[in-house]
Amino acid sequence: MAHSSRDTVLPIPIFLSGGKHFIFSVAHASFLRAEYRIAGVLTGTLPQSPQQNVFLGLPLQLMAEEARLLVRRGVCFVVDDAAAHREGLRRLCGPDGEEERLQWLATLREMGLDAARARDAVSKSRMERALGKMETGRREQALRSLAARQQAETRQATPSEADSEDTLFPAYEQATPSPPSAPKPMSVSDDPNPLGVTPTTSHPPLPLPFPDDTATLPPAPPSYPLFAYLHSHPGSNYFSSPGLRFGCQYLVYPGDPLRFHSHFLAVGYDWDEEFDLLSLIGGGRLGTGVKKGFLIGGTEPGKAEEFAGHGDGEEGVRCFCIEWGGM
Amino acid sequence: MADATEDLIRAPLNSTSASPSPLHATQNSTNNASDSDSEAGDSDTAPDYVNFLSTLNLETSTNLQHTSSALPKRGNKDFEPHPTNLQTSSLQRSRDAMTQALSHTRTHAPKVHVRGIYDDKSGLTRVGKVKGQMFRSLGRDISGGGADLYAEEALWGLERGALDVFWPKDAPKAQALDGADATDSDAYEECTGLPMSLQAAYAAYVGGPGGLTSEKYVVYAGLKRAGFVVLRAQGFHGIQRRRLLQSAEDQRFPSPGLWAWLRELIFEENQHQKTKRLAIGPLVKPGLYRNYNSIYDMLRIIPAYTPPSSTSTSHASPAPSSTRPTSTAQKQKLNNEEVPKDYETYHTSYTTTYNIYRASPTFRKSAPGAPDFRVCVISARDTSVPTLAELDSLLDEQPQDPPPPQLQPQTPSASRPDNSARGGGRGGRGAGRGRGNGIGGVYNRLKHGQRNVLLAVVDEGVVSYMRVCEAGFTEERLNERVGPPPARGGKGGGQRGGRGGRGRGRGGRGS
Repeated sequence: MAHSSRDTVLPIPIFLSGGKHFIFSVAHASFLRAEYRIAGVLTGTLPQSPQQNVFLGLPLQLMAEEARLLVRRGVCFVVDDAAAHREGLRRLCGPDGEEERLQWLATLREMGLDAARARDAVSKSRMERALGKMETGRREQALRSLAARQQAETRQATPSEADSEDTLFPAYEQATPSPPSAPKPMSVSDDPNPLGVTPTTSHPPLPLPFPDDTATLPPAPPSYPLFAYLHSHPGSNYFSSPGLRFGCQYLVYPGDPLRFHSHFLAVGYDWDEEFDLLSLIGGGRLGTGVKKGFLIGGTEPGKAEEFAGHGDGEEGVRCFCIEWGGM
Repeated sequence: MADATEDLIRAPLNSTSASPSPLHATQNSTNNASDSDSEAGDSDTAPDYVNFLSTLNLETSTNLQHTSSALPKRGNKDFEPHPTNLQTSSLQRSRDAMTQALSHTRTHAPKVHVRGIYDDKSGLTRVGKVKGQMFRSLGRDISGGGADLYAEEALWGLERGALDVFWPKDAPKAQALDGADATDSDAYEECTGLPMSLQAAYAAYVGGPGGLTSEKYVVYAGLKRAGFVVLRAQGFHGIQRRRLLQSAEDQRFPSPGLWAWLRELIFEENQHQKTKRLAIGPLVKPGLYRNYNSIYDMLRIIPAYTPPSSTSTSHASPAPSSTRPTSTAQKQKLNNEEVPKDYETYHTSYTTTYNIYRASPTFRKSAPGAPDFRVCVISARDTSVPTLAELDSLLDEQPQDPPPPQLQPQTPSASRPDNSARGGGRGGRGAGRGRGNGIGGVYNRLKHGQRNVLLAVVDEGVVSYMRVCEAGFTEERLNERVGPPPARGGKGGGQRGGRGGRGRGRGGRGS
């Protein structure tokens, strides 16, 4: 693919908008997925297909746990995107940034021109293919009408018609018999109107953000140690995603969720937290019913200090898997 | 489970090929009863973007819309990774397909190029000249063919590639623009600064001055993608009104009129008499009873909450209306609207966020009518289970939505006594042409409830919907279901109460 993971510059910016963590770059999303087993949740609309909810597009929303883990590892850093854009765009739209603004508008215009040319090429090739199909169906008819036409009429000059298309147009004309006049030439001019372009990311025109030393770790819920444990467990390839669909905290996948079903419904507890036996039964029953394991875990007190500072916060976590045995 | 796994290990070729793995099949059949559900219900897996791309026209990745009318399908998944090249390559293919699908750049052809200018003070977006179907249910029209968009509307438009939003170059001038200026004039051109990227739009709208949160946007976009018309409801900003206690009591217990007083004196037992009867008995006073219903009424000793039914007038809940200000000024006014004297306002997560309408060709945004659904958006991580008070105030915002007529018990059209006596055998179950008769009808009505609201719970971008309704258990008098169904005018609790009261009164007088 165009986005090789080797090109990615670390650390990667995570953009904080409205208290949520987003990734807007395809390259970054693919990189985190392939290299760090961070899948996130695609929440945006795919403009190619905006009327369905099965396939979604950018931005990629990261759980607070995912953002925290990545920042802890030094892979990512968090940018306050609202402030960055407010400042950056105000400057660009002010008198100081006028030159840069015009430059960026020119770049966008170029992109729009490229897109327009590509679109025209596509519509042209599609038209040719459609006409070609029609020709195979009515080849003889078309040839006959072509001959008749060549005899009967002196062709009007249609300069943009390429020679190779000459044989196609009679068939086209016959298929749409409304006007007897000559078909309108398809005008594929060299310089079409540029399309408006809405880029996905803001860099450029804004300068790339750089990591800020003063930034704090993203806050994460108390179940974070379990998340970190499942993610960092040596030898495992676990991916985690929000578990709301199955009434748990994390859905744990044995590999990329693109290809695998989840194995566990995970819930994190404090070590001494008291909870109802019913919640165990409920989770176990649900998990077993959907062929997954119900997994609970928490940090054993005293154990965390032994390994302090060596991991992602998963030190001293123990897990238990519960299977409903029937009644 | 172990068997299935071993099968997969023994036959990795099968598991990664197009045929569904045995585990996948069983999982679907356990998860989802009906076939149509299995698509949407198989939700623990990310969809396979290879399938998505196959529905698009692949000769270009730049500018093609989704062409086939059939929805793309999720792919088949494996149970677990195993070191086969086949699995590795199919994973790589899926990832590449996803990357390709996500790499699409939004472009706007000149003919359908709709431009808007963002206002970073109010969070609104002013569209100069609206084009296309989208605006039939989006935004508030301004003079001259333009429209003002709320944050979620503008972000949705931009995200689906139908709107180009500009950061203003000259913000005060941009705010002063009206539709007439906005029609591709130089004035408009002067105000547009830079086109906003998708990222810039998220940075500006989500958490911005428009009051849009990420949760509210995810729900909005999801519903719009599903084809619904979604409008902001009054509780969008999470401000709830509460009637001050004193006047509320005034309202709840209106002083009885002369007639009520007279009736209570002569026919009905009053509260004091009832308490005495329940305390020392007998529960059913000796006397002359014409039917069992009055006896059953006397046997009702446990007080229960009766949801306000459509006929009761004492419950003065204001019917929620959509917030449809036609101008910014009006919107401001609405936000700072004066609270009536006996109300106070407070912030809560449990308010109606959106009104939802089914897509309809006759829908007009100027007169949306009564919504089909009302949804309250809450964050799974910041909100706990609603308290009774929160749920009550949320339901108080909802209009009456009694079970539809086909769920109501069918009454025989001719309700003459001789008729109904003869029709007794028919009446119990067999006569049920509709679904309202019999015990099943009771369940259906209880499930539908008198008032209902949808809760959309959002956990980091994943949405789960729940329907909360107020089940009218006290409305369902099972004793009246036995034998011929009684001829009832409406579902009015008051009416029935009056009738029951008369019966009781006679009984009392006879003793």
